[in-house]
Amino acid sequence: MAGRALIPSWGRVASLYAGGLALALLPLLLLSADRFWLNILTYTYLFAGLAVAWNVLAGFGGQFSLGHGVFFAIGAYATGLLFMKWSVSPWLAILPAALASALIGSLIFLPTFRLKGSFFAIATLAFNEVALVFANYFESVTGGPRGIQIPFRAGFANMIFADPRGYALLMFGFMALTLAVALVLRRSRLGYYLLAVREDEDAARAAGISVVRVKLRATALSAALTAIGGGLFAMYVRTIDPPTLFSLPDIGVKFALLTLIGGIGTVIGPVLGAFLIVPIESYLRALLGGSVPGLHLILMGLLMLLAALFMRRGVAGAIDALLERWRRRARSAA
Amino acid sequence: MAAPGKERSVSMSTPAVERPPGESFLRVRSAVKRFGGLTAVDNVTFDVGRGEIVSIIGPNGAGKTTLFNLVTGQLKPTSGEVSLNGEVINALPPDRRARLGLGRTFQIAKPLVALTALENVMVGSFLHHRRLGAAEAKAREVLDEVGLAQRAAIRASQLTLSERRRLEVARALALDPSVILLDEVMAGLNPSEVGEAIALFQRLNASGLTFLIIEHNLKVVRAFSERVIVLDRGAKIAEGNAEHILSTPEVVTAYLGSRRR
Repeated sequence: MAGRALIPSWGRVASLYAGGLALALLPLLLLSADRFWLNILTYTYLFAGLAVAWNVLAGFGGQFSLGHGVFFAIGAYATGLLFMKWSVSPWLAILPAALASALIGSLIFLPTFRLKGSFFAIATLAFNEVALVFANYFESVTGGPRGIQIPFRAGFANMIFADPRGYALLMFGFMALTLAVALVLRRSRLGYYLLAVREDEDAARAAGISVVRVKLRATALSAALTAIGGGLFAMYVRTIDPPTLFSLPDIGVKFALLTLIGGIGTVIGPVLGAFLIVPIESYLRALLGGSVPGLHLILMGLLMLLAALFMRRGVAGAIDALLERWRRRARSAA
Repeated sequence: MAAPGKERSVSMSTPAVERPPGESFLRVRSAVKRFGGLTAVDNVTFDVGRGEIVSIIGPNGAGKTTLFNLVTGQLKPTSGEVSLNGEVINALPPDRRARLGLGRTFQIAKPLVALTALENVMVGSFLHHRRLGAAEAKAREVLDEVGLAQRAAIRASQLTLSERRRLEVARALALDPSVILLDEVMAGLNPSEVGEAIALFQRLNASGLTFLIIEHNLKVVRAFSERVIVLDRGAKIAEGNAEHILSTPEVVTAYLGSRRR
């Protein structure tokens, strides 16, 4: 027990990462012929990545943001506008988009860091609503409520694929990127400092941690990754409009829901949440949306209720508890 | 005195007599802290020399923890000055002071409950060890020092009270501080644990660590500290050698609270 490796080695982490990604790629191989499921899978990868990005600030740092729709929208608009107005390849455009999101995120979140818990959540929720109004108002830039349409000009440089599997792979790559960032972060000084800030700010300060600086860095990182997701989303749906980007149930709050169900504050939790919820929700929406509108939301609500009652620490927490029980049994048997 | 009715004779004060050995490392000059009408720390001046062990004692509500918080930066003084190693640190937030070499524990231990004991200490050791491996090695070393090596993998929420206190000390030690402030770190420990803690602190002191401690256990004070500062109702009423101070009648009455009879 005493000599048990507590912090897994990089080699072990890398092999778990590769194995997990291979597993996540499996459905793509099985479903690639089915356009309906391929679309769902594409969204699953995208939202898994977005939830991981949200978890960087909210899960590790304990800053429960409901304003990540703003970063998502910044990414979508910046990528789309750079592509439409100056023909910048989206592959390049996502970089300034991420940078802008990190800067704006740091600026607008800075004054809210004094707020704790739900007060922080409400303040950041307000950012989402204000940004929605701005996006609708500045029609000359954003196209207003009607948004921006990106014409279908297939090509790798345009990040527009004739084969829908291209998008699935693209989103898979995004998920892999965010997951790699989260893994490195969890094992870095900033990662440890974030956890300390989440657990107890006074104790963190006593350990020499500048609480505001740590929150700012996590915000910048989280906002940048979310913006990349927003840019990819824009190139997938090829319509950039405010009601979609700033939707709370589909974007801003969705990141939080997926992460909570999967296991907040863990590296893998947000991915598990996305793989559980996105397919079920999309399937139910398609199945019931035509006949009984809204029924899929009732069923989803029920599912979340059950998760809140029986999986307080999310799917990741439940798996953890099972493993722990199994280990204990193995130990007592030995 | 500021508030009427708080007048009293400052029975004994021994400045200039008991100069700390060596250079003055931590200096507190005329520190005052008021909370509205209440003067919690009333014009307190003292020095701690490098490598010294100084205890602050006094009855409940004497202002010990408030004085402590003025030194750590948790609170800013209403007036007066705190300096560390010649640098005035009045305006610095706690994290800057920690980076200058000031480690502390909290009276009510603040374990990071979701993290393991090892991770708790790594939060401290990352200050001077940027890389994961180095931070982990340093944390293991400190855990071993405080006798928690066997508990490294346990979540802090599962630790016993005495283990939590040791964890608190370990996190502070992991900063490689030059002075450590311990706030009633012995409370709730059994005699053998107290003995182990004193042995640990003496070892650390021998390697150059300066101690400023708040302690209720007078046995600990006697066994461990070189100099004692006595606070009563916010003011310093005595300062000097532990053995001498603890037998002074004024200190005894203040400490036992018989003054109020």
